[in-house]
Amino acid sequence: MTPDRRTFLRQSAGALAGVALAPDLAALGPRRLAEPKSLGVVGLGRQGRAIIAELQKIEGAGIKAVCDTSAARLATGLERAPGAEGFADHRALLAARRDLDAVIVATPTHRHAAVVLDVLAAGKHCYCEAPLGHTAEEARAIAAAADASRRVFMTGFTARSNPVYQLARTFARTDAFRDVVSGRTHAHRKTSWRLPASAAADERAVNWRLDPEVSTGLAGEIGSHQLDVMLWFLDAMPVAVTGSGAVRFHRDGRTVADTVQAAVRWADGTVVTSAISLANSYGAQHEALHGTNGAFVLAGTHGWMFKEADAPTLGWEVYALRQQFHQDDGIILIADATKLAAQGQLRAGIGLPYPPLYYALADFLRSVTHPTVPVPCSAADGLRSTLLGIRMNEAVVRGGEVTIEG
Amino acid sequence: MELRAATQAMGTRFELVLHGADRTLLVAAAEAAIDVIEAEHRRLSRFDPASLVSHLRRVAGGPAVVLDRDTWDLFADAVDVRRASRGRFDVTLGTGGATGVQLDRSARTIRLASPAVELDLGGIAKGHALDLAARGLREAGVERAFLHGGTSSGCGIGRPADRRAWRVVAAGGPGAPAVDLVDRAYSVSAWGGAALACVVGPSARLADAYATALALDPDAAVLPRDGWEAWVRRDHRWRPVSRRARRVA
Repeated sequence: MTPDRRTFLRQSAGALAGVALAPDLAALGPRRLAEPKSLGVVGLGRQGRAIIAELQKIEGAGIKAVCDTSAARLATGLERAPGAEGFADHRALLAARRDLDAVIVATPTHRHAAVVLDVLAAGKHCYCEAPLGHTAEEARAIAAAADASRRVFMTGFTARSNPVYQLARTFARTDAFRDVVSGRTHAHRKTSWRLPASAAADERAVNWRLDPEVSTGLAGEIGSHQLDVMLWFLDAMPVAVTGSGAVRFHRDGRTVADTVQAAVRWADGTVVTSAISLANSYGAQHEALHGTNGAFVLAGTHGWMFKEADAPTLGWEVYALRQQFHQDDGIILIADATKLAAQGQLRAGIGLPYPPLYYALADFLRSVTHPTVPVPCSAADGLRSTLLGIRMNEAVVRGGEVTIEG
Repeated sequence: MELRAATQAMGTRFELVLHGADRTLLVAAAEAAIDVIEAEHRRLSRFDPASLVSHLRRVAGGPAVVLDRDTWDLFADAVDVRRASRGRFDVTLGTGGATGVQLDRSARTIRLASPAVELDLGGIAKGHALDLAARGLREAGVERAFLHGGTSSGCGIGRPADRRAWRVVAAGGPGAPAVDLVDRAYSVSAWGGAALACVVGPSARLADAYATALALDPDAAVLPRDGWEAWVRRDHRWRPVSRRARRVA
């Protein structure tokens, strides 16, 4: 997921009066591994480079090999990972570097399966970027291989590792939230989604997200991440999705919609609406879940809780900082608030000190070091959210309602 | 055709002006350059707890942190300019001295000597972001472009379609330097409301750092020998800076 361009959700309008969710500071990093691990990174595009940058902040995470089929991206990756050995083919990497403990796969989505299956067959632990695949068949093949491999496998839906989101989920299971009413995901960022290709021959490969033959569009590439949050919070699969989409701004010959809307329906009547656009930046990226006693708004490194006027008072509210969003008055939730308040450090607990990707990679490496510790987002979890994104894209492309398999 | 793009980063507005025939290429290249600027903003901010700078401060005094090539070059240049300016340019704001930032060239790592060392890259980060963005534009095939951050730092790629150079005139009264940029960068830095320095050279990052140092003390900084020009304004008058390094930096 790309970071937010706009930060309006983090800026107060007038007096601070909101609930920001901030978990226990001690658990927020920096992280160090109990023993060093040797890692390979396959796929050195934007996400691969972001992964390298975050791994370099984790003490003990040694990037020993990097791989990309593009000579230019491989050269850039090697610049970013000093001491790593470079490969143009992941099979050559696996054959030459049997010393690797784990491989992180950050290729284009439609290439995940080919790489992941070889990584697992080579006996390596694997972190696969999300969504798992661009078709249900490939996503299922990855999940099945992960299950059979007895290796640590984690899907890169980072919300489940996000300490802010984890804290919110604990409150979502209490009377502070009560019963779910509805939800909303929103991802707006004005950008063409088009990357510059150094040669015309590379255009289609570089801009695979705009290729309807291999891309699941905004729904699959962005929507799946946000819907994973919903699946995780609601602990149930939805039954159907409706959608629509269009090219609203980037009329450059593309057919993949630059603006989509969808409604995902659960059997109990819960509906989560989804709005994703490359034509407008308002609202940036966030997820909202509405309950009968409160609501959460989660935005990457920050989160807030908004209480209903008739909801029971919570003991820690006396310490809370608040943030005002128009007519909504929230409370800033800070774990260990009493201690922080005593130190005069209450505000220091607002927001995460590392990007969500950092925590996901740290969790993966923790499980690689201690295999009995389950990963926050397993292959099965990743499969469900990947399928939801694929079905949402089908609904957008086709129009109408698409049934979601259980 | 001309394409313009902009973003808010590092407390200012960055603007890009691209000339070319292929709009699709220009849009993709401009957005990629904007992404680079925004990424460096997030990485280098001392105010963002999720930045690399904040991470370095959290692990200060502990193990060294591996840097990518570009960030290594940033810190290496910062250390070089500190030395060349006898400490007038200092990303530790005086809290680290000569050893506050510890670089290991062979391992390409960085370590802050202690948690007491502050890091503020405000005097070099804009130029750094511009250098990286310009490189990305060139790699994308853009041959004519002008980029600036808040007008005080900028660089020109090639020539504009309709003129012989990208012309920039420093503010600040009579005698202000007017520079023609063709594959060159500039930076104007101010100090104390009256002192100004303007530096032009091949790197926006270094121009930024040297301008910061010269604005503080026009006699302290020694510019690299070749390809650099500088002016300072004191007492409302601009004059060229003539000191050069004895060896090429």
